[in-house]
Amino acid sequence: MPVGISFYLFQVTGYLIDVYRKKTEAVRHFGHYFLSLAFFPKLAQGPIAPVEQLAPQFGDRKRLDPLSMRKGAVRILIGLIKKAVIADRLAVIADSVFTAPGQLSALSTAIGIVCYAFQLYTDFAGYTDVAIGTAQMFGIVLPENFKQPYLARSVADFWRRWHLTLSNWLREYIYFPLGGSRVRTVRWAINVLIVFLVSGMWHGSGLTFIIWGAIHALYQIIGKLTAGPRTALKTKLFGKKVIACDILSVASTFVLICAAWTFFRADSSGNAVKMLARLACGDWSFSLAQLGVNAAECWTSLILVILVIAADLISRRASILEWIENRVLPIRWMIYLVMLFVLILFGMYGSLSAQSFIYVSF
Amino acid sequence: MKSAASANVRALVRLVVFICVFFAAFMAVDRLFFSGSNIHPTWEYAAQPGHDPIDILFVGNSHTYTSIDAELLTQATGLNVRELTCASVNGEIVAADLAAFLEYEVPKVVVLEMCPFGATNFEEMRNDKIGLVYEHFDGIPNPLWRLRTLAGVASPKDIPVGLSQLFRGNMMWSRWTFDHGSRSTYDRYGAKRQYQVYYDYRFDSEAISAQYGKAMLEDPEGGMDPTNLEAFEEILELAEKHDFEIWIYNAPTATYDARYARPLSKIISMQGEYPRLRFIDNSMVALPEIGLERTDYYDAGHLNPNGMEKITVWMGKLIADRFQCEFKPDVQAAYKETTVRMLEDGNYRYTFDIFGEGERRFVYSVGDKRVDTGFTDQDWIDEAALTQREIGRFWVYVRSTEAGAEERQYRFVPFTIEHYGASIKSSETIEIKNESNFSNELLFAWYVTNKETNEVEKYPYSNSNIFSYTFAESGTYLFRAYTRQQPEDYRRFTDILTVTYDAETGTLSVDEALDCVTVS
Repeated sequence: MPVGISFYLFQVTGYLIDVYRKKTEAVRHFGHYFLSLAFFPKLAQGPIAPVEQLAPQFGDRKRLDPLSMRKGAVRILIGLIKKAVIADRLAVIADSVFTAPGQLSALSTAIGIVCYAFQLYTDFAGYTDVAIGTAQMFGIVLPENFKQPYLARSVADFWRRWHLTLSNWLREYIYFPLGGSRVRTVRWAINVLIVFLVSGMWHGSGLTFIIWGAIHALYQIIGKLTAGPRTALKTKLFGKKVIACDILSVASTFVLICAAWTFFRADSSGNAVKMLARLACGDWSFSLAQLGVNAAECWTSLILVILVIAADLISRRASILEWIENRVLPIRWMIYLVMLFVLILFGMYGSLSAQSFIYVSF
Repeated sequence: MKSAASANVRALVRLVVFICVFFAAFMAVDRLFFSGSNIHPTWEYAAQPGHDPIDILFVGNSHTYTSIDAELLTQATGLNVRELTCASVNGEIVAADLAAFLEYEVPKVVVLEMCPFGATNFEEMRNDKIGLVYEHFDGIPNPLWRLRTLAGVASPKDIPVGLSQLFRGNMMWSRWTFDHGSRSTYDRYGAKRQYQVYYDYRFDSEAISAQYGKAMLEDPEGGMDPTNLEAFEEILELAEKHDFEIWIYNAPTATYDARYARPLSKIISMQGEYPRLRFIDNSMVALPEIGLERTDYYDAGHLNPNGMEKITVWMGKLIADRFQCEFKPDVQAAYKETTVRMLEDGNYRYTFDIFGEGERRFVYSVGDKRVDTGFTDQDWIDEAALTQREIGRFWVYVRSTEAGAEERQYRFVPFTIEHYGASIKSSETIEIKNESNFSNELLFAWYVTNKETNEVEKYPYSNSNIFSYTFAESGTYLFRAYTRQQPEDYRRFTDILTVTYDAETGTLSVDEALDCVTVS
């Protein structure tokens, strides 16, 4: 398949619908239109930027702006760290576990699934950072794609944080035209199912992706239907202990998301079922050999996962990029150097260690 | 407009300053964390002041270090013989490596193994091509000099790989073996791969010779690719410049391998031009003399310790002729023996007998890979992968619990491989399964040879791939499995295993598990 086809097909489809609906004016400059579709940083994996947002930016006269260059370079650096240091390192464990479905202990299986969840996040978010940073160096603003997804308090909340541009597209061009939530419950449930099945099929034609989409639809439907009793239960259990309630919500959401990711990553739906069934086998023994890493690498992976969570927690309150930008020059440079050394020292490189971007195949 | 321009200039100056600071930080970090732990032993030796000069240096890749035991040659000849080898390198890296090493030490003879000069596909196989060079470059004190060397051999796509190795190879966390992508595969599938390789290749010395001859007849100019040819010529220039001899030899392969055949004729054709170049032909002429058998191979291209011993002894005689010295190999003294047992879960248990009072195992190492670290007084370790161990690069480092005590290094060869299983110990009857994976209509036959009396018991073809054998008397038995496929009537045999049976104690031990076989 041509690289990035899923992304620019959605982009051009959305644009055509908007022009047809007269929601936006057609772009009259062919070069700007074409460039908004083929702009290289976002071509392979998005973000799916609306043509009407992107095309006008190519018409503006651009000058070399050192500040944008620097901010863009830092964003690229962060993206590369996410990809080469975190995602590809976690991939070693995830690959070890997913290539032996149902054969490892419950603990190894759980660790593998969690590692895949973070691998997928940092892999995709890493690319997005590189794309946004590269565009920024040219003075082009691309939309954000992630908003601390694993801190979501519900599956619905997750979809307001994960792959935002795709979620927005699905909502705008499929969910709303079907009637959205302003219909009867049964019809709404069907709408949700259709949206997520389309989302699943967008990721791939395999049954695993369709099941993954269906699971998310099911989560949403059950979530809405049980919203009342769950709120009552939470109030009864936790009262005014908001933090405890939040932690439980975030943790339970993460577990549900991970269960769905198992289908997303597994070679077949049968293997995914085997892995999930393995979690119930009761064998919670720990084995480094099963994970395919040594102790140091296992600890490193754990620390990286914790770092990702910590960075997301901090990002909820303030942008880390802005925080770096506001430091005095010596501190700023020190941070840049540390990031460079982390990338060089701990990155995974080479044809066998480095992994392709996961979403590039969609 | 003017202020924008000055802002740009300011930014540019800052960028240049930042790059300078980056390199300064690189130098500082390099110095700060330099542990010296990652130095190739030969580099480390060459860097020591006042060391004995190196007489002979073997240079090459895994085919070299699995065919030559420099320690044994040193012991047998009294010469100082060293190896500068690293797995999966091509000629380009060998040349860069040698050039860097010669800045420190010029041996009298450099023995080049030719496989790297026929290799064209290692770039795709290795995840750290430049890292391979750099593994040796720990011995080079100036990191910027290393950068220069890196730039000399790196293609643009290798730069990140090399840069990362350049930094972290020198640092304490290099011990963590961060390049794990490929190693994990070895750990998980190593043993399986080993058997598969063994099964797929047949040792055929006549075919090897014939094909080498054919390669030379059809391709008299040689098939070395331009990169490897350039590297080879660079080494010849180095020989002129530094005044050393070059010997070329090809590590024996179990079957025809184009990587050897390609450069062979080219190198032979160059002999006349370069008087310092000596080609040692061990493929056609010397193969019977060396006496290699298929059981001397770890896989199609690498020798196991038995094969290594044979080729080393053969090479030692040539060295003794050249240096007019005695050659008295004491094979057993060169190694400590350890026991390797195959566990029921498919892992291998290595048991050592090396601990003195107050000593603890410090780091357990297989070839270039440090597998396990940390103090422990247990005298065994379980490992899944056997790939490298079988071929004789097997070290255990020991250090005293007292702070600052020197490490001592032990070399081991797993002479004895024992299957571990209750049924084998308690029963006089064994069942062997021939796991041939041909298509249908298979027939199986079995030969059992008593290795002491050379009596052979033949069991004709049957449809069952399971063979039951009851021992009548004690002794060592070789089990050979024949497989026959219809309708093509394709046949082949495999030496499956050697079993030693002790009638008095009723125990059996499997000395060599040679092929894809299960014993129950």
